[in-house]
Amino acid sequence: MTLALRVNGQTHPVEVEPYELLLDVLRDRLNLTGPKDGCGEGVCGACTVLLDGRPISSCLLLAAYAEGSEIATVEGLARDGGLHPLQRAFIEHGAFQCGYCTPGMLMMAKALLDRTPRPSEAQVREFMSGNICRCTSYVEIIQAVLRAGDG
Amino acid sequence: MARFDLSFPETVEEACQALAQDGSDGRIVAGGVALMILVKHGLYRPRRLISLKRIRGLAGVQETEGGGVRLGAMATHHEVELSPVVHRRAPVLAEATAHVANLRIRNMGTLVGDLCHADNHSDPAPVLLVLDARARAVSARGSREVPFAQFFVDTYQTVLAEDELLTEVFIPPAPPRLAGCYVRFSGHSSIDWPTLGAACMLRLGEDARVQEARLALGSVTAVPQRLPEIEAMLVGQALTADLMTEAGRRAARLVDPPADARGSTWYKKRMVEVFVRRALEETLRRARANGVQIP
Amino acid sequence: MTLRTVGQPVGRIDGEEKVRGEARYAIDLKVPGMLHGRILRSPYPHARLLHVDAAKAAQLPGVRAVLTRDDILRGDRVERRYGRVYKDQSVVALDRVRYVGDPVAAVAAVDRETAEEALQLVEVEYEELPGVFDPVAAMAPDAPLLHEALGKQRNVCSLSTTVRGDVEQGWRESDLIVEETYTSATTQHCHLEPHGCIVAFDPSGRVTVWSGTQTPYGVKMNLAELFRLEPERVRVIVPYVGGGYGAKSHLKIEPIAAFLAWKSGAPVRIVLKRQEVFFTITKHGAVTRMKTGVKRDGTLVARQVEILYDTGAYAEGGPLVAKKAATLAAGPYKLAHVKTESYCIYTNKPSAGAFRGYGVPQVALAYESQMDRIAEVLGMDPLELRLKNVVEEGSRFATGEALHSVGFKPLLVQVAQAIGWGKAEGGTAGEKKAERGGAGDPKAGGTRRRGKGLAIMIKSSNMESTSRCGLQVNDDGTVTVLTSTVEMGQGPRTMLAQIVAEELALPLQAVRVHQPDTDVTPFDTMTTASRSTFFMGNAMVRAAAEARRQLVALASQLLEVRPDDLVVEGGRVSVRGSPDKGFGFGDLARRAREQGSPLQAEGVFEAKEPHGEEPVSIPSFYLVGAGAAEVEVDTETGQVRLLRYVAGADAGKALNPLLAGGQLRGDATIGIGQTFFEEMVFEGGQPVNATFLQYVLPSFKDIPELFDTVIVETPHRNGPYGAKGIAESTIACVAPAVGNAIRRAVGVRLRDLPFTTERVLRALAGLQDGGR
Ligand SMILES: Cc1cc2nc3c(=O)[nH]c(=O)nc-3n(C[C@H](O)[C@H](O)[C@H](O)COP(=O)(O)OP(=O)(O)OC[C@H]3O[C@@H](n4cnc5c(N)ncnc54)[C@H](O)[C@@H]3O)c2cc1C
Ligand code: FES
Ligand code: FES
Repeated sequence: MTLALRVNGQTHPVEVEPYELLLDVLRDRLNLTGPKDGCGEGVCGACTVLLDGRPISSCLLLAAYAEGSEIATVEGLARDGGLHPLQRAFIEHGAFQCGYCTPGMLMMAKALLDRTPRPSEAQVREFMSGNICRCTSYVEIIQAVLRAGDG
Repeated sequence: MARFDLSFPETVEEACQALAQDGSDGRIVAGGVALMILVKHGLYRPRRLISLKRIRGLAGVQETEGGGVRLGAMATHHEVELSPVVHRRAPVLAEATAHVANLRIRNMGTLVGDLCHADNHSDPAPVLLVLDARARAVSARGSREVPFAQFFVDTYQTVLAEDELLTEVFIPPAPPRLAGCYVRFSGHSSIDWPTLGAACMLRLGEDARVQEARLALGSVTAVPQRLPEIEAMLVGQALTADLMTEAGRRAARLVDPPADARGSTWYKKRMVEVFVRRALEETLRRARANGVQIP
Repeated sequence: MTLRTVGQPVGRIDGEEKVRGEARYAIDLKVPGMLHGRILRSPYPHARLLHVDAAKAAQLPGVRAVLTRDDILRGDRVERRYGRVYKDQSVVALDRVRYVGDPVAAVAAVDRETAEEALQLVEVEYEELPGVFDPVAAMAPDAPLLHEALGKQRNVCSLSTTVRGDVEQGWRESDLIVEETYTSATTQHCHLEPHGCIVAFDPSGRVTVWSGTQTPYGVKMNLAELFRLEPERVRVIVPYVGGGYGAKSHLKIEPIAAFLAWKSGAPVRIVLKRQEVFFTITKHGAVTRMKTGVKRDGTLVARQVEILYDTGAYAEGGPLVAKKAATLAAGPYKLAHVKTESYCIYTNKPSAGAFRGYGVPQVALAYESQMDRIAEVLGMDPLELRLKNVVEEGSRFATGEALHSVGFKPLLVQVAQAIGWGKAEGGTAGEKKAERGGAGDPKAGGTRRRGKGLAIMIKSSNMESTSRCGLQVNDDGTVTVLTSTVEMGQGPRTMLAQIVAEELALPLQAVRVHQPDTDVTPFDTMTTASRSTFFMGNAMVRAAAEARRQLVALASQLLEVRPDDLVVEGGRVSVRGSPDKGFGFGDLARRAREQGSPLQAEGVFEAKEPHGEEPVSIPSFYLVGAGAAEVEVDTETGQVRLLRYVAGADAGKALNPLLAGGQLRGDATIGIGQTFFEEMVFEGGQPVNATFLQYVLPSFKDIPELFDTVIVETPHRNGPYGAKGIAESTIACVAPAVGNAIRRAVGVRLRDLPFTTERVLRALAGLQDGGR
């Protein structure tokens, strides 16, 4: 089937098989390899992208379901070449090591800040709790999100 | 991924037709969360999935006349969790759905899909039992209502026939002075599935005696279960600490949870004992906070 | 010497690439014409292979190659068996499968779906054999054997021992002898990026491997040997690695991908599914028996340790883990008499190998829990007991050598202080009692009790290894660093850039670090054992010094000024006092090139293990770590909340405090998972939780609200700026610190990891753990 996927503000016509998942379409067909496959079962959040502003696990979403929605991936976070405040805060606070979870973490954090611009530490922990990082202790991620939330 | 076809009927009738035609080759897909995992693990190899996504009228949460709640088959966990109607009319359901998985899954997975999948670790299922909720099942042959008390047959098995789909869930209006809670325990991390979930609703009289009690357990039995014996034991009594402790003890005797990676039978029985009591305590606390005077 | 870049908490140099989602990992790579490889795995833990037939799979349209044992047995493309320590493994199973997940066949096809379908068409007939699933049972005389053909008796894969003094004499000299058994579960690394690689053979017979490996040169050498190739014909390129923690060292899936690539004549990519990662490598489960003799005044006298490491179906790196642990099992204490016996035992489970901590967590659990036990029996404060016995500068270790740069004492004191050791929680009397091992602090309320615990650990890095690196000054004045150290998150790119920036007085942005590519970047033993700061860091200091010498020499020649009168600053070499009299690095680079001797420098650092009668101090280093925990136990459910944790290490010198702190906490966070719930569960050899849906990892909600770090700096005489590795300092401390805290909170001693809520409750109920 042919889908018109709107990703990071641009519409891409893509030919996909009905069984294809959004993550594979983004990575293999649109060459957006920011979203990662960590578990393929909705647990780790490495594949997090936003669908109309809502975070989802693209590893479990049928690509056809994304048609008609705004898809946002980490590649669209920086605007006009400048890093998003979250991206800067992640670097400054050492909020990642291997960086594999980072595209998902950033999108999750973006969804949080879009909804709650100045979250409390407890809100950050709760909202982000479904995203796994195996390298850091999360402390640095919490600090970074709080920092970016300060504006 | 394994290969399969995907269709997008636009009405319930079309979906029913498709199900009837495909027989065992076809299957409903709602959010697809549970199904995609099965397919990825090769536990299920579909020929054709029939998506409910484009059917108008299956979305959302509405208040029914008289103060009940209608949940459409495509309402996601997160919609239920945030719905003002649910917060007003069935707050315990909002509480339970907020515990499901993580936000991403709650944005994708539907409440109805969770119930139809019938994993016995479902968080919302015991809550629907204490809410006396019903499901509407529709097929090309017609439509019927099934109370959730009769919905679950076994783990991963419901009363739905191969050609039936569930269009909506009804929660009847709650009687006044009903307080409730859902308590959940995960022995490992709180992000894990529950080891146990306990849903409780109590109606307390002016004299603070229990007029009505509804208790259900999830995760510890093959299907989520009400505990009629415990309910009966509570009705007419004042909720003393001793009574709540005794309720927990008896509840533990009534179940025989299977051992798994989240605990042995012994341990789960102990947790039933603790959490039935804690659910009663919490419900009582809320009832008090809502103004019920306890002498 | 004042430092400018080194020692500063600078952000990672790979930060921007990573936050933009542009950093490429092995799973992101594509090569034109590449095929997708998939592996057929055994459903049985132990079975004879009666029949393997992939003819039907080979005929499926889209399938380009299949690999079965016939290819290995009939052809002469590869060695039949390989292995880092013992050659007990083959590319796919030959006669027997030895664990659920053992590769039996593989296919390469034009897309993933076709590869998957082809796997279904491979016909395999098994004859099940009895299996053995725990190391104690595996040593029984009548246990089924896994590798009898290799002469492995009682499933003993390896045995390593360390002896110092005479423990028998030690027992006689002791007033108190404590003997206990501790166990640790098999766990998995769970690096978020699964193993992935692409292998391509070119017509000339050269092989290129893109792999997310920690050991580019290891893969090169081992693959060459396996495929009977000159090592020069194998090129290994390593992109960013999405976490390794030991799991991505040496050959993993590369042999299968290589075979499929050779057979199909096309590049083949394999990316494992999460479940397969659990089959590929694990951390050793272990049974540790520990006996300690001590004098009434708390002086430790003797310690005997026997460890059975459950090494799974194949030796992998297991014997090396066990060998190292044999030297470390008695812990960082002054002991006149030590005897350790460290076994690797084969079982019908996935192979175990290197995992952050390298065998130490399994023994630290025992020795640090036992320290508290001894303190309790003697009525001593656990902190005092440790301070009394812990090793210090010059102490003789179990290996006989004199220790250096082991700041345990200041570390212990600071970590204890950070957790409020000896101070009551909220200043209540209850905690005071708890501090002496009493019933815990009732102030925590209702069914909850609080307690605190301490632990320390010691681990050695590589004893013998080599790091080489290159550095070149570019025409634009920037510097390119050539290193085979792998960036898997631990931060070596940033660390090396900081060193170069420091030595050449450059801004950090002027230093670029080349990705590992064995055709371009020089030899490095491997990126393991927290060794890169020390080994590659040293090599880098040398290379940078050489580059500086060349820059100054050339400028001195051009300016006709004595080298001593030149200063290197801001990317220029100029005359002291007259900054405009000089040359930029770019100019110098161009001139050097024109003169036919480009500005290129090399650095080498090598360490050899001292061999001889009386061991002296080794040229390598020891990791020195500590932890302190405060917990709250719910006595009704057994749930333990980690309220506060302090992770500490002696860094020698923290080259980047921001990244160092991240290492200490991140390391401890894996420890938190392994302490409370991580465990690969098997039923009759069948893994029951080998997915992220079932194998739970620590999350935002499992870390303590207060999570601090303590870094002390006892400079290492051979370390760059006094620095040494730190990335494995804290993982081993978590479980014993928590176990000790639980003991002090509620009076029960947990000896089996993980400390699940059920185990805590069973201990509280005084019940034996009757299994699951
Ligand atoms: C990582 C993770 C963690 C989870 N944790 C929890 C948890 O803690 N607690 C919890 O309760 N759940 C948990 N879940 C389960 C999750 O809630 C369900 O998988 C999800 O809600 C299923 O909904 P769906 O719309 O995606 O169903 P689908 O995958 O679309 O369908 C599931 C099944 O139901 C059938 N079905 C769906 N809709 C209908 C219908 N209208 N009529 C007839 N049949 C239908 C399908 O045919 C299929 O068999 C978790 C899931 C994941 C992936
Ligand atoms: S890869 Fe999608 S949640 Fe892990
Ligand atoms: S930085 Fe490696 S998983 Fe988060």
